[in-house]
Amino acid sequence: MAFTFRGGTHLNEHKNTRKCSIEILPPPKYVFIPMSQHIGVQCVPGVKPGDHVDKGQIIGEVEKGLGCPVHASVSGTVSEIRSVNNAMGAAVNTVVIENDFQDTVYKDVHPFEKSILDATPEEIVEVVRKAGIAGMGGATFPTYAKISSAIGKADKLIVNCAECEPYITANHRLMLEHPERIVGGVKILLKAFGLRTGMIAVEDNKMDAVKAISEVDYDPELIRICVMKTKYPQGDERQIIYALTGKELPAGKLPADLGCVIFNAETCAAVYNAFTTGMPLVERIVTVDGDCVKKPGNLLCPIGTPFSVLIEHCEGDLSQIKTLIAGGPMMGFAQWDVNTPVIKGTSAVLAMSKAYEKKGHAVHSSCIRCGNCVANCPMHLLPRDIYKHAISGELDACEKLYATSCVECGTCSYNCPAGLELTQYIRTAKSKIIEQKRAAAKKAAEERQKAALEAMKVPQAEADDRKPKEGENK
Amino acid sequence: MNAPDSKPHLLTVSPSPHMHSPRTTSIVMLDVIIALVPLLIWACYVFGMRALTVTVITVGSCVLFELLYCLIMKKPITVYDLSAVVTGLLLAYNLPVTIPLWMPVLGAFFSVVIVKMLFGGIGKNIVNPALAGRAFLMASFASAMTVKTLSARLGLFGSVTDEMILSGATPLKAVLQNTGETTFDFETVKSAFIGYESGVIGEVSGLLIVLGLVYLLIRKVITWHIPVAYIGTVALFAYLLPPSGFARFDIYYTLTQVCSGGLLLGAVFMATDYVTCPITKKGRLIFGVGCGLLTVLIRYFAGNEGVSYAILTMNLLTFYIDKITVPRPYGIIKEKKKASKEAAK
Repeated sequence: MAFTFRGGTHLNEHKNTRKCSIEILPPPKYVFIPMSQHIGVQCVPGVKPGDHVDKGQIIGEVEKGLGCPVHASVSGTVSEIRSVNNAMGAAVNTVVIENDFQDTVYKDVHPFEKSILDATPEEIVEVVRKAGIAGMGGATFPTYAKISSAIGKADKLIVNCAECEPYITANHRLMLEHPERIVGGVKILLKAFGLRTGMIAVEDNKMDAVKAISEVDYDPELIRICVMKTKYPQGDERQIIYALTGKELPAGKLPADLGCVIFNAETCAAVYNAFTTGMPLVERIVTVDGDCVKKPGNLLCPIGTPFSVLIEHCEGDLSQIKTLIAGGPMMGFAQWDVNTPVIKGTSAVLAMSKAYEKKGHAVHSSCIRCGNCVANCPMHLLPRDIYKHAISGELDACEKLYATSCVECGTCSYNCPAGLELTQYIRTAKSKIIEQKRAAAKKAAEERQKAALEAMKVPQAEADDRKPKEGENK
Repeated sequence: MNAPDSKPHLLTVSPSPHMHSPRTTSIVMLDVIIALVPLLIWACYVFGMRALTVTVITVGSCVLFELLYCLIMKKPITVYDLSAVVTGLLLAYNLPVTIPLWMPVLGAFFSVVIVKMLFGGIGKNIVNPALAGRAFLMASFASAMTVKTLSARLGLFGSVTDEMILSGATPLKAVLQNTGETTFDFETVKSAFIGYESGVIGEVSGLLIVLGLVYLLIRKVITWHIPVAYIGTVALFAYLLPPSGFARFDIYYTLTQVCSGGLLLGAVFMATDYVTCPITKKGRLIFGVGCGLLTVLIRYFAGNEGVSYAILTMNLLTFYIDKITVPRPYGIIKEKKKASKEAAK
């Protein structure tokens, strides 16, 4: 019996690239490295135009707060620093490097000095932080922060190899071709948490990858492979936790609160690379697919490669593209610029000649109450009711229906026969509710502060009143 | 040398998801139509070609009224979603083959314009349009709506003469009032299930209705909850507590009652109407059991219009069933438990 969860849909998988082995992209002439490729604070560029940089050299560092450093992904000269729209649609300070094709490696890049068995958790966190590793499944949460916040709490380490989004096969190929990197990464992470066993969670459409991992030389007590049913969104961490542990992650809590810590497969491999070669996260595997490319494939490309280079390498016609998606078709971001650079969280680039797999005339007809959105919602919400209230702006009603629990997986919109953009309206309502709450919290804090100030002022004023009197007395 | 500037290239930017299931409202309706068509072919075989005439008139007038309404009210034309065709088919299937040909037009007007379009069109109606149309015709023209057993098949525009009408109870009457004439054995079940008995156009063949159900289930148009809960409830009562005069625990009697009257047609095609049934699976189970209980009550104590009024009544309760069956979202229970624990402290 495969592990699974309640709700969700089996999508048309479109895994056209499952047989395309990882191909190394010829290095591009220019790379565009955004200073923010993670959740948290933007990095400050540490280089200026004209500087020479080597592959693996730190070019941006977070000064304060949550974030990971950014490294040069090729060697060459910094030609300029300008604002470029990143794949999430935000304008970000970006270092443009002109490749000198020498591939010189930065002097500080060297393998971890000690045996991994002797590494302390603190050292592991530091190596991961220095390597600039962020969650490579798409959420891009800084990995060192995830590790250090879960140390002492986690009793289950889960590697997410579900890859439930259609089209994407990057993790699948990684499991097939470099299973030792994933297993090696798991060993290091287990060491950081002081755990004995890690779980590798794979969907049952990737049984060849399961075989590849089980053929790696490892202690079977070290790694348990959990085969899950192929269903979207199985790769969501809440659904993985439910499938593997039978527990629901309470709203607003982190997996670590349930003792779980979850890493993406490629993140694990990046941790392994950081220890064995010392090379920080400067390249990743990207699935390039869609009906505009003739030769879809999985490309290992430097971070900062423009999408257009990937598409042209796959014999795609840029002029035919109507929609360009960074990430999977269910949760990915549509791009307006073909030169958007690849960042740490870009698992796929999909070039489509149609706006989307559009339905006939029925787009935006009325809800017929078929119940597909309710039956398939992995969070067991009532998408259609939230949508109705969101349209009329009734945020209180949306909140009562737990709109804030929505994970924006897109299952409701996918299944809607009337073609309603349920996900988008719920997403909007959700962000408005969160905004309102923040504003209310801020206002309350301000009022508390004001009240506290006034409470301080009163004795001050009394003291002021007394002073001249004291003077008089003198 | 500077990096080349980004070339402006206009792309469509839309919110995720960028992929949609190919199923649209019209495909869903088309599936229902496909499941319904075999019933019409069987009806033409049993009752004669007049069944086709009645159906064509009903469907045609349903579509026409919706089109006219949209044109007159200057609304976007919605007939392409095929829901008017489904309403027309279901209304026709609820009429006896002997009905005067102008009556379906009136019924179609009531169904489409008054019950559906005036409430806001597809997805907004409160009760099932086809059933409401039937109830309207039943209230207005009770004798024309009564099912008669005929001695011969009717031609395309064949009219009914008094000589053709056979005396004798309809199958449903036979299972509800014990006249001592009918014994229940495998043969009665077979005849009721395959459909040689008299009835309205669509309710004759239980076999074809079950085939339609299987098709709809395979195509995932409907879920099993309503048909199973509805038919199960009625069957349970027929088995354990049949009306006075019938033996208990008689499996043949139970099956004959299930196959008689509009129960199968109603449970498979009318009660499962998306618009007028609850949206959650749990709600649909409650809805099905409610339909079953009301059908039993009406059949045992009032007469043979059980199915239509049971479903219409439950349609009115759908809103409240939805309210009490809101599912618990993922990850919410612990807070509630904690809150109640804290309250207990």
